[in-house]
Amino acid sequence: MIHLKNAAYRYPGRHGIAPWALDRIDLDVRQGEYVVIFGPNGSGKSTLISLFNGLVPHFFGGDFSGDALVCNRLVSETPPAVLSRQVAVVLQNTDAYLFCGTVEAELLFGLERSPIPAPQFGRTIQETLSFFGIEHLRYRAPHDLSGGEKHLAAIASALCLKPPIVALDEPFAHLDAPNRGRLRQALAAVHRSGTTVIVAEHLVDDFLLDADRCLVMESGRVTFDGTPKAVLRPLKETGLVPRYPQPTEDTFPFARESLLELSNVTFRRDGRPVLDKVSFTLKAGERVAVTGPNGSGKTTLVKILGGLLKPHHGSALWCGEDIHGMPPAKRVRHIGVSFQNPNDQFFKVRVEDEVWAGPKLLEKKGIAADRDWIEHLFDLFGLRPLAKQSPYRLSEGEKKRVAVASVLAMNPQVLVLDEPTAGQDGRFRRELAELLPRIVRSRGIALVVVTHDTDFARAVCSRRLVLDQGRLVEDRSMVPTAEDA
Amino acid sequence: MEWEPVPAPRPGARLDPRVRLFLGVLIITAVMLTRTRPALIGESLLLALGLMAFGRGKIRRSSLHLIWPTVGTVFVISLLAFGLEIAADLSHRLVNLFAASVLFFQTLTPEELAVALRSMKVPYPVIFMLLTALRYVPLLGRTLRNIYDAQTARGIDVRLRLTNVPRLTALLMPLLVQAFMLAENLAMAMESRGFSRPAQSEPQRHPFTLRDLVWVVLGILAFAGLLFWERRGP
Repeated sequence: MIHLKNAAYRYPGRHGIAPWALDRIDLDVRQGEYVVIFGPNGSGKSTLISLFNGLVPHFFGGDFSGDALVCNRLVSETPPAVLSRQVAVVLQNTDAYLFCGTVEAELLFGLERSPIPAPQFGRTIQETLSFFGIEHLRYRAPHDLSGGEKHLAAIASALCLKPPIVALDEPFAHLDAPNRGRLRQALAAVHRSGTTVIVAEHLVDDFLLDADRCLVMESGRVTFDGTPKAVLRPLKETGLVPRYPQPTEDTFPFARESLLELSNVTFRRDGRPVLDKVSFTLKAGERVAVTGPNGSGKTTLVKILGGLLKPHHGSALWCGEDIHGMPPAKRVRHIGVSFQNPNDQFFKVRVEDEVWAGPKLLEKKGIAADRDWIEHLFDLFGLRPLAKQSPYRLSEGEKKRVAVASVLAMNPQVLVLDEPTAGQDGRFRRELAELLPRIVRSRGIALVVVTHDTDFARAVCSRRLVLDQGRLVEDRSMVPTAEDA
Repeated sequence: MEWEPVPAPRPGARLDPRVRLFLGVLIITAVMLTRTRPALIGESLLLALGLMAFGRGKIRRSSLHLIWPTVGTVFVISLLAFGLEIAADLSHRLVNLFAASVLFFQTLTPEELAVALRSMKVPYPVIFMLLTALRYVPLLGRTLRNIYDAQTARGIDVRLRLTNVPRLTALLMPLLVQAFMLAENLAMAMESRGFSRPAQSEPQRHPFTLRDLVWVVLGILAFAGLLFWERRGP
């Protein structure tokens, strides 16, 4: 189905600046194979997927050399409009991928461009939706769907034309465990139907059990090509499966004062409770993981902790003072929040200006910046070599480091991180897992990590809060006991 | 979280999208051509009734945040320039225009708008651009909200106030960059899904019925009647 011989590609404008995104790749993918491509950020996984349907080189431009044959067509001579009949590529950004008004319209978009006659559209749509178990979403707007539902709708819209190859770019990255399970089942069913399935991913999860073959990429090259059983070793050796530090007990060389107190916090949206009577206390030095399925109210909780939302009932207090009522300049000295998408934060042209942006604003309000701490942050997060670069041009891991450092620069006593590992490779996840407990210990701050990543949570946090349908259903220690050992 | 299934729109339960498009355009034109205060008041009542009868769900509060400052600004400027009467009429007309637009978009989904335009032989790339704009305005609105939260959480005051104007780059810069990223991702998605392949077949749409024709005729008669009544004078 796919045959690459010495295939090399470099993005336009990178001549002499950046290495080849794909560097002399030889690859054969047979019909009906389920192939998983692993690799760190920037290793060329997405570029390779884009080569299969001709986006590389036709859409991006740039330099392409070597041979690439997909379904007996030369990629260099076949535009994506033609190749997309054979290869359905589902992009990572489902908000961009699903551009029609309803899920049905998404499927119709492809069908109208296929040789399938119009009278069969209704039946094809019904069959495809029922194959993925999403008939109930047929008339829903894609932007109203959850992350998992969006991915299923995207795959359904790609597969209703029954292409022989489907390639997905990081489909599991932002999903919770139940949605990952649904997607895994859907992909396994597609594979069983004889379709060639190619998945580029960071996460190593149960879906690996369904795959026939795994590739590992590094710096544009395929460094491993073998079975799913054999891939775990190279993944561990290269740090793509992170070897997290052993979980540690809290040690407190400082006074353990209560910093945050939430009491019966209820928040409603459209009359429906998103958070329902949530109560907990957070003390200095605590490392707390907040977990729960998509839509359980985690992000709303983050916004309440950051003073961005006011609870409809109950209270959210910082040392007895209402968080929402505090002036923003005072609030950020106490509670720092870093959201999931670092691009939401960046507005300066250089990394060093970005890190200094918050402290400089505080200085204008007469609050002195801790210059030694900020300089130390540059070393701690490895930002010195990046200081003069634009934050937008960094890798995903580097962006995340800048985003967290720029929040810590204001010296908060509580650090709240919303999905810090989503879309990040294993190397970054391990770095962050080592860094965060160190900062907590040295500064005596409290840490709240909202995450789906249970391994990361276990490595970093000592206490776990579980939210389900807006309710706090579990609050317990994560420190392994002697019995666990 | 389990979602309730959304029922399928029943064929024939609503007017043909082309008729709804035609009536919507007719109502907006009528509001713009109205000259007298009694007619404006009559239109307001009819639009309010229409919104209650045909509106799907409540109007978003964020839309009102945009409407009332706009109406207020028009009122103040026309009050200073022309006096109270003209200012009141102009603001009233603007409120009616907003109400007519809301009614239009509450009774015609973007997909139905596309169906109507396609059957009127409007070129597909033009329709697609229009639909994509309608689809991505709320998406960028959500991005703006996320940026606002991220900057506020960093202590950067980006509320819409005169004193905060120098800090608005903290909102606009990330929004601009993400809008470009979204545009590139959208272009990639369109290429990946074969947008540049011409449509080979179109789904069958329900036919134009007698009821649709009756509504078109009623709309034209009401429009002509309003213009005649207004211009004839008391």
